Amino acid sequence: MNTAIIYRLLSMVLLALSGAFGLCVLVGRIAGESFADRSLQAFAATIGVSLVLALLFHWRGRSGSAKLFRREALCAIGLSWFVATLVGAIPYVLTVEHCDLADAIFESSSGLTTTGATAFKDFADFPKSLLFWRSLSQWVGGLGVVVFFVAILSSLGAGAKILFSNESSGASSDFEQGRVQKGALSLLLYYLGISFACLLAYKLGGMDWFQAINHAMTTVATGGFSTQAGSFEEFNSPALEWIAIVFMILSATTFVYMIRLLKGRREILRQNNEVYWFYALLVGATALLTLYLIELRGEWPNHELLRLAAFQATSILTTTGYASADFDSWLPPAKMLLIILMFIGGCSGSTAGGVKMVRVVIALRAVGRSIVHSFRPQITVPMRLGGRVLSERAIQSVMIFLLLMIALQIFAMLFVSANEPDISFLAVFSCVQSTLFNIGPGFDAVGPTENFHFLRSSTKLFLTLLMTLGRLELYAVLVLFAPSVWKRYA
Amino acid sequence: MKIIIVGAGEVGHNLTSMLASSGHDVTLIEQSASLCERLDEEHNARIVTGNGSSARQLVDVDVAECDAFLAMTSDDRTNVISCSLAKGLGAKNTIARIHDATYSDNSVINYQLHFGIDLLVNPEAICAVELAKTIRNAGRVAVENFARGQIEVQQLQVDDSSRLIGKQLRDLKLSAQVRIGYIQRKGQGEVASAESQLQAGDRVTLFGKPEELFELRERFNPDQKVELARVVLFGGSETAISLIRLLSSPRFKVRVIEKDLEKCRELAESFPQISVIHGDATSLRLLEEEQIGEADYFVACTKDDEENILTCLQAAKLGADHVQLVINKGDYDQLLGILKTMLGIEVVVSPRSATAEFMRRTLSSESVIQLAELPEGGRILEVRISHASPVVGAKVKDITLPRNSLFVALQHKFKAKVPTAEDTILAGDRVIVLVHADQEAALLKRLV
Repeated sequence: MNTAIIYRLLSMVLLALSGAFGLCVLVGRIAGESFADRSLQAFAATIGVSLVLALLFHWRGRSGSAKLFRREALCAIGLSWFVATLVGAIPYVLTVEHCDLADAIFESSSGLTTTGATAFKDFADFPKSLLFWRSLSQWVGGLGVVVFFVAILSSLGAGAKILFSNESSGASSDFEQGRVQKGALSLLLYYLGISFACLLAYKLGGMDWFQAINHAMTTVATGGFSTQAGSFEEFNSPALEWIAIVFMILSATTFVYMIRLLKGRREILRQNNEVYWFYALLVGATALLTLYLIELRGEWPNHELLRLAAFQATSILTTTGYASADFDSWLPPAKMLLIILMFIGGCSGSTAGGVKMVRVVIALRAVGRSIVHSFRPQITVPMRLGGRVLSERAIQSVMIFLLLMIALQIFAMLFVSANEPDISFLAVFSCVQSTLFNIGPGFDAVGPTENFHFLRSSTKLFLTLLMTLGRLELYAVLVLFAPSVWKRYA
Repeated sequence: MKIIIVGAGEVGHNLTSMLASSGHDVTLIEQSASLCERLDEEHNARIVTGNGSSARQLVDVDVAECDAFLAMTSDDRTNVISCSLAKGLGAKNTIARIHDATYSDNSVINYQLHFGIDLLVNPEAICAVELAKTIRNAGRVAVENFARGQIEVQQLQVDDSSRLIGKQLRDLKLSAQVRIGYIQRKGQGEVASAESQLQAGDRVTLFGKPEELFELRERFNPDQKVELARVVLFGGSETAISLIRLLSSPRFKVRVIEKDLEKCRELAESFPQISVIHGDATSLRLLEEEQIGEADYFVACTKDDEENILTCLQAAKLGADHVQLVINKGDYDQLLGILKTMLGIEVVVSPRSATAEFMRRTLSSESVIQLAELPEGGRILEVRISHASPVVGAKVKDITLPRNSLFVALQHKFKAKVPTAEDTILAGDRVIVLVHADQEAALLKRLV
């Protein structure tokens, strides 16, 4: 394997991360923290560590070809995420008093993978710079740590394509541009665009600048970290909630699709696309949740119920994980519905997690087709989606992916419950689900008003692994554990 | 530059790789889904599965915004249809790959004009030009060709017995298709003018049509006899056919060995002057029977690279003087050096790299390309005449060039000629100029 290129990519990831830490220092200074403060010293130390590591990796990878095959690309992505998670944990360890290492790693991973589950009880009292890092890590992780480089480095050549397709849930073939760099750059611009729009909307909706910046970053990344302990419930502002709903939906819609629409290509509106399924599901889920709320509260349908239902449905389906109500106390059918929504997630090629709408649609239609095949084995049914015919291999890989995800969830539940014998079945189920599918809150002991602090360190580290597995859609992490990847001739 | 390529065969796929890695925005359209899937990982380009001669497909890839449209499938008709559609939909530049001579024969209708194709390119013919270069000019030094072989450059030595010695060039009565460009004498180089005189021992660089140049050889060196060249071609491929056309002079004895009986018949019918042998050149007995050892040139030009290489080795072993071969696959590129140095194969050409080089020149946005460098400071430049150029619309005789510089060829709409005084230079033309290094800046100021 060509390890040189992996080292070089890792070194660049670290370099960029130290830039991000620098930004946190800047924000801390603006918010009035001094360099004598523990928080800024922590960031300075982190910058030092990442720069030294970057230099070391650069030195290790100084010679060797820049050729990037699948094996190197997958390993580079998996390793970058682990390295980023570890380095991102340093500020928490150094700033927070009596900080458990596992808590810090969990928090860092929860940020980068845009999960939004927290292991800290009193994060609202964190210094501003650290709060900013929490949100910034989600913003960076939303699009992907490596995608930023794909956009900038043209020296990666065609290898950039493999990197992009494996880190993001979209495929590079969706781009209209010939060069993957240009395509990734247009994604980046769109991402910046909606981030700014979201920031302004939040500011106009009544947040202060600091809150607006942080929430904008975690909204468009569909992350879910908040600067408030009570998330959106604390603002108690219908306007802000509706703004959040709009931007969560926007961020969970396939980016390439929106970019094409913005360019004025109306014809894609006529294509049968996952986006429509996503919106239909969202509307249906909101309606059902409203009904359940009406039954629970015994009130006539009103704006508040509709808003609560819409906010929770959007937040869960887009895998953001904000809460404007304690949905843990809702009726069982409402919780069942939310569990299903958690599994499905947003559209492919967006910042959302879950197994992605497109896979669910393909799987359901493949099931439907197999039923037809059982009584008419000779019929040939091509599967069309988004204007193109899917190959049998693509359908098969979707089915295998879904199976793997479900198997992983079941196995993970076994592990977690053995490790944490005191917590209920629902809590085990939902803490695995909310980390594997990058959502954030779960039910019962890990409900929207709770946090993950009480878990054992080993459980937290295991959940960290699950988050990264879910974010990278399994393979980039799984290959790291395949012995044949590391062998010379296998 | 936004470039659309149709067809991911050996030519299309290598063009994609070359153009994408030099930073162009490339879209490749290919029909086979499995091929697309494989190529998607190899190239930094957008790979689209579809039919390149469907208007809907072309609109989907934004053909109206593309700067160059290259139809590179192996089927001429598909290429013509694709280019014609692309032009109709707004592509700026359309280039079609053509094998058959049908579409370059403009005696009844101008196909290019009719279909809106800006340029026909025949990779096999470009290859054949490369192969023919050394065969046609045995023993000559530094042969270069410009404008797809229409203009050739040769260096000749003036012999003591030549009757050209001592006369000014204007009195030599050379054909209008030939031009003496550069004279080297005792370590000094000079761009020829009408007053220059030739002396014995001068090295002269000539430009012009290949056959005209050949006729001139005798006047420079009367003692030299015209020798017969025995050429054996292995394989009746497109390249072979183009090569046979280029070697149609009676001084070449051409023999073709081809496996396919049907192809043999076709060849024999269309080229009565050559002998066609039905057989397999990998068989030692056949090679011996046909006296390959006596041949001056053995050229392997089948589609099968491995057979080409091995038969070439065999022919060299049997005693053929010069062996040349065609390599189709790009994957063997790194072996070309070994073939030349270790195995004694003189010329290795590939349709792929020939086309790539040709496209690089054609699509280059630079207005000046240096084509070759001559000893003692001479340079051959290709200058693209833009609309803003001061010489647009001027006749050649009215343009005063700086001292030590010379027009040697004028390419108008892909037709190249040696310019006469009455020719007019238009925007979009390319002129090939010969200039001494110290006058280069002054000349470019005049032209660009």
